Amino acid sequence: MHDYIIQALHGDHNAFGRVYDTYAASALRLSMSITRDSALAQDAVQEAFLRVYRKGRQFRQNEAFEPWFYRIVINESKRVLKQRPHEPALNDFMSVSSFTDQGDSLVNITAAMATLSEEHRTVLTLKFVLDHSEAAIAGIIKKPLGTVKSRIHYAKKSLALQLGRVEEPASAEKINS
Amino acid sequence: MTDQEIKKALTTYTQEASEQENAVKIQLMRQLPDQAKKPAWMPKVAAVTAVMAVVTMFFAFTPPGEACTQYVYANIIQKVFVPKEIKMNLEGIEEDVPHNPYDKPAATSELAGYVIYIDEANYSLQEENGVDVIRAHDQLSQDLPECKMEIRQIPSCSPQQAASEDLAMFAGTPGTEFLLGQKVLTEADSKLSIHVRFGPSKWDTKCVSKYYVDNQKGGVFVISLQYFLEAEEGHGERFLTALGTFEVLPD
Repeated sequence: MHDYIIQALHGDHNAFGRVYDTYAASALRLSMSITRDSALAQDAVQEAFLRVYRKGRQFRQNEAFEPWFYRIVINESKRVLKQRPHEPALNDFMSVSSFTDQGDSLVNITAAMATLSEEHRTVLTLKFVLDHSEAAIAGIIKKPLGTVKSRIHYAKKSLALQLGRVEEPASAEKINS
Repeated sequence: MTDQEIKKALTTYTQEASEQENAVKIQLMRQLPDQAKKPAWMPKVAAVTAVMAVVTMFFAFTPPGEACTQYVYANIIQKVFVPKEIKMNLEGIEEDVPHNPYDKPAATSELAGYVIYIDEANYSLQEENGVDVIRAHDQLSQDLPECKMEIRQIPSCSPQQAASEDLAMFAGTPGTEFLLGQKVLTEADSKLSIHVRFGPSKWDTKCVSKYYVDNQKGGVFVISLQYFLEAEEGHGERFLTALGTFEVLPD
């Protein structure tokens, strides 16, 4: 683990600022996927970093920092979502530019993401935006590798279906558990 | 849809949030405490002092007689069982969930009192026809099997006897599947439990787990966890956590 992370976990503000700069954007993207609301994502990430600061001294140095940190981000995102569980309207997080150059695709993606479960949105973002391996994702969400692979498979399939990139099967597919 | 297309879609979707990095940082840095920290032992000293003050007050103002005994008992229970955060693994995510103790004193000489910790932000306990029932504040659809935890106390009945009767009842219910095999109950069995599922393994199949705890007065606590398969990692896990905190109170 980098020295500055250890220093940050022991209360060094400068080092903490560096940890923030390293992980904030990824944390905001992950939280946005879970909460589907930019304002909630900001609240969640702020709380997550505060929690890291407060609990830093309890962190065991033989643990990996990233899985621990991202678990906190996921937990805080779920917590803020629970406190304000409103369904965000499409235009809640559409900036003006959203309706010009990327507008149509963003509207489509937003609608598609709304149909995915929180677990599916989480694994997709960890894999495709934060570029984590499936094994690393299993470590973050504390699920077996097989579960992660299965979630990614079904999440990709569902997203592609919603974005109209694959044909819907003629007959309903039965999932036998 | 290729992985590259998925990456592009998700990056676009999360772009606006990631651009708020600096705004969040300003708020965050304002909330960090000063770096000069108090020594770590300070809170402990404060806590010990507070307890000593309470104990002094307690002896100074305790009423006499039977009321006094009950008062002492209630005070001890409240001091021993304090609110705490319990580590839970909910759908793969570890969380520290605040729990509050619920203590129920013995109603008669052949019944025992007990304590159980409840996640009061999400659940509440109510007595219904002599049975304590823990339910979520937000109930799911009425079309789904109800998720609840029940604590029933049966006087003059051993855990083996209660479990045998339930086993016979489940065995006589069509469609019931024993998840851990049909238990052979023996007198030596100190941790009795029965786990059944009502029907094939589908997401909404009702599941019941029953646990039998000796009440130390010749009776038994029968604690029943009920949920449907999909809720196993949610309500099921929360009920199991609560069960882990269950304690029979001595007289």
